[in-house]
Amino acid sequence: MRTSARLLLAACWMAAFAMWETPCSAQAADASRFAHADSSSRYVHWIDLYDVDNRRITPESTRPYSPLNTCGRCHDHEVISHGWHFNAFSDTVPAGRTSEPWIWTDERTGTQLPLSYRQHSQMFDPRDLGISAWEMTVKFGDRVPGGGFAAAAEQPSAEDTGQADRRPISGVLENDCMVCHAASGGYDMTARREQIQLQNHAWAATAAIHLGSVNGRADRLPDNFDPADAAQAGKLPQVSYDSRRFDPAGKVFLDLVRKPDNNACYQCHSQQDLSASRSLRWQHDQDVHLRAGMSCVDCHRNGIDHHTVRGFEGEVHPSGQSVATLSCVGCHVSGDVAHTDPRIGVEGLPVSARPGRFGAPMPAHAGIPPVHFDLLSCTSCHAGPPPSDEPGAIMTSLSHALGTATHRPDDQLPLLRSPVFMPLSDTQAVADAAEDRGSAQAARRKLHPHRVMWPAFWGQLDGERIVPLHPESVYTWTRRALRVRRDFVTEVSAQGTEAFNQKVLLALAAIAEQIEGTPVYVSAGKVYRADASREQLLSEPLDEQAMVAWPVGHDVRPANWALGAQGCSECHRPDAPIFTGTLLAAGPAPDESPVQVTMAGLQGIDAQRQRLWNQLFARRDQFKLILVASVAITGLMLLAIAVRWLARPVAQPTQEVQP
Amino acid sequence: MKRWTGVVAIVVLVLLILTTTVLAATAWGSMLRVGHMGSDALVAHMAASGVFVLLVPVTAVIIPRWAARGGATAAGQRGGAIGLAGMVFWCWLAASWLTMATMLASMVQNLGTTGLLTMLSIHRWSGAATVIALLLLIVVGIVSGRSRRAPAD
Repeated sequence: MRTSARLLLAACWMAAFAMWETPCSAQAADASRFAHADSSSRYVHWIDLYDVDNRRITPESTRPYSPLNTCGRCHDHEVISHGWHFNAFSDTVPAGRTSEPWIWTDERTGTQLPLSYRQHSQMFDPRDLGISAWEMTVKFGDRVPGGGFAAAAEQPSAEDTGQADRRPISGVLENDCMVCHAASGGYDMTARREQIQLQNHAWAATAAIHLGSVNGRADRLPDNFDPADAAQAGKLPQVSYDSRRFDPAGKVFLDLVRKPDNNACYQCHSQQDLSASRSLRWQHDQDVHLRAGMSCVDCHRNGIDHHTVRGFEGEVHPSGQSVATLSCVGCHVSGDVAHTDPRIGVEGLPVSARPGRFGAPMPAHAGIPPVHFDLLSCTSCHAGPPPSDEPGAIMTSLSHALGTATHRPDDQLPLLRSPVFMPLSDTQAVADAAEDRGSAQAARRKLHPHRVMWPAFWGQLDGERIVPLHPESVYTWTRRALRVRRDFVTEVSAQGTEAFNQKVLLALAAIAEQIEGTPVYVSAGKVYRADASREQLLSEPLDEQAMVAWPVGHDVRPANWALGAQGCSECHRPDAPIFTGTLLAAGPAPDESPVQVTMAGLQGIDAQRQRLWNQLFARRDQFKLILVASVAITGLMLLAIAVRWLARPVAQPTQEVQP
Repeated sequence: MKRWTGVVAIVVLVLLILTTTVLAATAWGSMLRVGHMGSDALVAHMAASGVFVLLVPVTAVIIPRWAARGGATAAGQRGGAIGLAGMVFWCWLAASWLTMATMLASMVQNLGTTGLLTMLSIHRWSGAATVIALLLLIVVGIVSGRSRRAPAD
């Protein structure tokens, strides 16, 4: 009896304790839900794999593994999925500084259309053009690490283009952690790209780390294919797992690193210089930081939220953490000025906010007037190709799918040009967001090296505005008129202006049958449209702001290769390309008198005044001699008068004479 | 000879006043904002500084001689005004020298950013002192001129 009473009492206590404890426990469980090794050592990942239905993968399984269900068991996928690489689709994320757009390129129609879900200047939101997340995934899926638009549930509200959302068949292109976190050489981007091009989106992650071979292709399955139908399920691609990858307990070793290797970054962030002064890859020294032993993620780092630091001056990190010392100026010059008293200087900074991370050298900038630091970003002088009389062509991973083995002619669309020295072209929204941040605003006005492109697309006039039409619809409507088999440039533009005019007129007429407004073609800063009789093709230049530009920060050159290291005349001479360089608009259309704009024009500087200013530097050395003479003569005069004053006779006090 | 010295001195003084006016006008905005000069102001300031650099040593040589030969002998007997004018003149010359020296130091490309900012700051204030000294010199000159004419009246 007494025992029963004790048990009852204990049970009551436990129940009471459990009720009292529950909220705290839940909180603690939330905080510790995901695994933490909490060590600097590398955690060895012998792990179970899970498929999209959370079923454990065995060597006999035929379904692909799901990164979300496998990695997400121990890592907070929800938090990770809001990082910079995945959040473009989100309306709640600030646009941030302008970055390279997704350039929808269709060589058959001469289209190079800059798209961005972020509200960047001169770029078009795919949703406004009726381009669905599915279409974006098909077009650009092989250039994203998964997630974002590739995994988005949202669909465009604009007109339906008739393109079915085939994700029930292809599966979702989930955030694939291994794209970045696989040890160098452990991830096969080519295999991933191949699977994505076959619309085997859910199978891409499995194929890329060679856990097994994937047989079948989702793109061959009809739109009405029902993957839930057991009778048809066998037609979906199947995985044959390599049983040697599994240990006796059924676990698989994934060779992972916490800090992604440079090679992982290069998959999407490489560029190929095509300018006349280009140096071949074996002649090129790469970024000086990498040569010093650093890696991309030493500066472009992130926490579990994956808000990768972009590293520009005035950057505000979404986490609220200061990232000032991860920018050029913060690391090499000033540290985190927001945390210090400017009167004290660097010595007044806490150690963590001081410049000099990784032993970064402190530049003297001897003889460079400080006004330059108010007008130029660090990258203007130190990064990217030096200014040239005519900015050269460039290819990038995101725009030209660098990394895939293919033949790329130098004039392959999209046509990009670099370097162009101009102030940042952020949208007003970005400017407003930074209104109360003096350094961010000041940084916006500085010159930065940019890459630029001119949109080329088929669109319709909407009042004064030109709205691009859905590129796939354009291809369908103009296919018969243009009769291009592969390349608009070689098959239409290269045939001469007359042939171009004729074909474009036919294409515009074909589009006019499908839309209500006036159809136009835009290329290289000009708009082409049919005259009233529809027999002549008229062209007129657009505003120069039709150009799309985004700043670049790499490759950083050694200090003695910086612009100005050899003297003022590198920039301050009448023909200095940083001001006089001329940018010729480039696009698929033939153009005998292309739109031209000088760097000075883009910088808002009067060319005449700039020339006058630079002429003042022409006799600078002689002026220095005159100045030395002048200072010497004046100094001697002052010395002489000082000596005279000191040697002046001192009046003797009058002695009183005693009578 | 004496007459020519007087003409040259007057021409130099007029040029100096004009040049200093341009320098002061173009620098004033930047001094108030403690920022850098705009492009037009900068071009004008640079051009005027070239003339200023030539005029200062000429002024330093000519004006004391002219003052000593002419007005100073007459007015020197009256003491006050010319004594003060001389003092202001040498203050002006010292401020001008400092202004030019900081300009030179900034151009020899040995100083780092901190040094250049210090030079800029000194240049700014010595430039202001030069302008004020020149203004005082003009005022004192006018006052001493009137006092010389007074007995004739």
